[in-house]
Amino acid sequence: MIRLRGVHKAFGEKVVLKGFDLDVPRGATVALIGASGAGKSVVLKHIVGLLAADRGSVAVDGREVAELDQEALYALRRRVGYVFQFAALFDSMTLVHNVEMGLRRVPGLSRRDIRRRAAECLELVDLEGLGDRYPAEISGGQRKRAGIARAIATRPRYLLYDEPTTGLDPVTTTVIGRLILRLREEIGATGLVVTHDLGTAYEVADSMAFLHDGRVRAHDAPGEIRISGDPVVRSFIEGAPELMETLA
Amino acid sequence: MPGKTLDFVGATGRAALRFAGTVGEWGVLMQDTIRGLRAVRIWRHLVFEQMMRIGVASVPIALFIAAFTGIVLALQASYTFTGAVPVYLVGSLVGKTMIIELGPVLTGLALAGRVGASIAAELGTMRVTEQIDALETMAYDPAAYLVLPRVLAGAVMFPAVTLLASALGIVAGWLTAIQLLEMSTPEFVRGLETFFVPFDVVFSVIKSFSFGLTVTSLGCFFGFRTRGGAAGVGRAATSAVVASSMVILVFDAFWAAVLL
Amino acid sequence: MRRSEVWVGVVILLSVVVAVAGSFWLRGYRLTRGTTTVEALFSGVGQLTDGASVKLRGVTIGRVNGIAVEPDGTAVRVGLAINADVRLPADAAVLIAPESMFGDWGAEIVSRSTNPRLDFFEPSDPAVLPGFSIPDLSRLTATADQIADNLATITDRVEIAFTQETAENLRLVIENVGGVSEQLAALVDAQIGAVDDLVENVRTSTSQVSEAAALATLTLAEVERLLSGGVVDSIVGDTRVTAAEFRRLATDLRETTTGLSTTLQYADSTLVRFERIGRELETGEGTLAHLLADSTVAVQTQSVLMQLTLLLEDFRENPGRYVRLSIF
Repeated sequence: MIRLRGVHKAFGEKVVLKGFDLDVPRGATVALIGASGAGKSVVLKHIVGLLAADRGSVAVDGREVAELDQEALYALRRRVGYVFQFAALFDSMTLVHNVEMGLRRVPGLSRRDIRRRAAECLELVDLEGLGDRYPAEISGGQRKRAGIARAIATRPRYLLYDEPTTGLDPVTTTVIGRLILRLREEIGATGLVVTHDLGTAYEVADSMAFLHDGRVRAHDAPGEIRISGDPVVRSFIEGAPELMETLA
Repeated sequence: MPGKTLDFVGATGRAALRFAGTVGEWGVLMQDTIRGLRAVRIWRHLVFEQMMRIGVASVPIALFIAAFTGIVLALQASYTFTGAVPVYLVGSLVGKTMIIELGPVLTGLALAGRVGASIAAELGTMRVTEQIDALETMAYDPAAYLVLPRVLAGAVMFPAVTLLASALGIVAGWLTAIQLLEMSTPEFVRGLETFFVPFDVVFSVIKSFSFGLTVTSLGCFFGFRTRGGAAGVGRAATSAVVASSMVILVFDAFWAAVLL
Repeated sequence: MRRSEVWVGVVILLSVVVAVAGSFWLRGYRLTRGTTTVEALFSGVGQLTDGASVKLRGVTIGRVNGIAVEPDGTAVRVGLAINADVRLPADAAVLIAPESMFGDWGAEIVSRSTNPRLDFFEPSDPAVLPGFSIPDLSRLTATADQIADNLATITDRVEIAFTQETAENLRLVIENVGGVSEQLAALVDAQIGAVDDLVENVRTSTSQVSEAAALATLTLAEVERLLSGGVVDSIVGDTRVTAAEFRRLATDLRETTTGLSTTLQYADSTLVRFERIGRELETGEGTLAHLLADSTVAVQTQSVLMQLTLLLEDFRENPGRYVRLSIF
């Protein structure tokens, strides 16, 4: 269970989060939607302790992230798989080595186990046979999938997706969306998907949270969000800036 | 007028605070790096690769610079020593200068450009493409995984490269002396011997050791704090080279004052 | 990965080898190629060291290679590694002397016949060259005062035999030799310290002294030449001829000019003194006679003056060098 309460975060003058609340229940997949630059990725980074909140509480499994010592923080991070926006693959390593990186930090895994699991993960994202390629040698969609394989390698309890479909063609977008669904079934991870791609959000999410102006403006089932009466939400869903203007 | 003065004072204060803040951030990174020493399993496998990239790959440029420095030293020394100064002092000057000053400093500066910039650019790219964040989310300590192997490699390889460079510089000076300056080998060697003390070599090692720490740690530091895409990576590389070059020269003076 | 480990190892080990072995190599190096070694015996070698240059007619042809006291302790055997293709004079002998103001000494191979008065060490083995060590600067300067005194007496006596200008210059040189030699002695004692004052003093009198020194050198060279001709008699003879000519000149002057009595008196007194010098020379009395008879004094004087000339020229060209020689 991931729980954020009243989170404030500013970078210098720029205030990004002003009292952000969100619950991601165990087993659920929540899509966090919102305009580009609204601070969606910032929320994810708080959950794994890459960023520390100025104010407010970020708790995973009931433990405050900011209060964890380094060992506990590493233990938390091993329970969380993080899929980065541009995959963030280590370009000096082959895909297999990328996937193995996280596994090497899991205590008690033999070298054989690591190799076997890495192969499994690549297979799970349909990249078997590309393990010896370097990130620069594969396509954008393949990189995304490799990033996902790396994130799931440690069999995390939580999977955080940062814009998993941004910059992909519609077909690949659908492939990734289905992959997220399949992973949910196969490893049963709780998911938080940050995206501004509504199609993916509708497809994979149990509920959708709409981030606007540093807060969650609306949090509801995809069906409800789709028919929301809130002009701000409508403006985003319909891609109609003039609705925002009437509000202002 | 008082307003302008205040502005100036304020700007000075702000610059000083920013500088102190930067030094402090560097200190924090170094503290993390030292703490990272405990995570032997993380960095053990990476040190050799960094030694290869930082040290071995830098040997050609260091030797190139040293060779020409040796030649120039010999030529200019013989040009300077006219009249009553005996010509064998060319050997002394080439040897002494290569070992205690130009060997370490020129190698340090050259490697500040080569190694410092490459570390800053590499880590900067990793920073802006979130690879460093990715490391952290995979429970790796970036200080132990990225910084420590580079700093250790620099500390070991800078002295090694410097010693080779100094030696080649002296050889180049010697060849110049016997080929172009009508000096003889014994004359040159006699000059080398006259002022040579073994502590010079120790001094050279101490200096280049500190230069190695400087270049690699500053390269990592500026790489880590990279912001803003490709332009940010470029700025990080530039800052790393400029800062390490300056710190190298400061250290150079510092060691000369403390140890000589 | 394994490859990189090897390379790293190569660089590190190589650097250690270079650092350690390089230092040893510096001590062990000797010239071996295309050279032949000749040996010479000396009663002493001053500050000659291994690696010092060996010259023939001013050209460096080799290195000093090995200096050892003979087992019986009566001489020093010096090895000279010289170019194999250089032919030495048949009556070769070796002179060693300071090369510069820095205490570095060199050896010069000379022909013995051109230096008949030098007291070469005589080796019993004909393959070993005789050697002579020219007194170093400190010893020369120690005797410079005495030489200066002698010179003062000499000039007093020969003042009128030379032109007025020569006498004037000689006087200058003597004054300055006296002054400079004291300071030189201090310089040699203190090696490099406190040279600044000297530089200051010397700089002011440099031009005068070097001119005078050059002139004095010439003069003494003339004396030397006369001596090597070996005819003191001819000096005396020449003096007589000169005196006769002066007398004829005086007669001429008396005939052609009146009212120049002062000149005549001057000429007369000149002749009187000149004739006295001639007599003294014949009887072997007087300082000049001593000087002419004792060739080593002349050689030493000449050597001092040459050293001074060199030193002063260098002072004038590069005064900064003597203020503080610190390269590093």
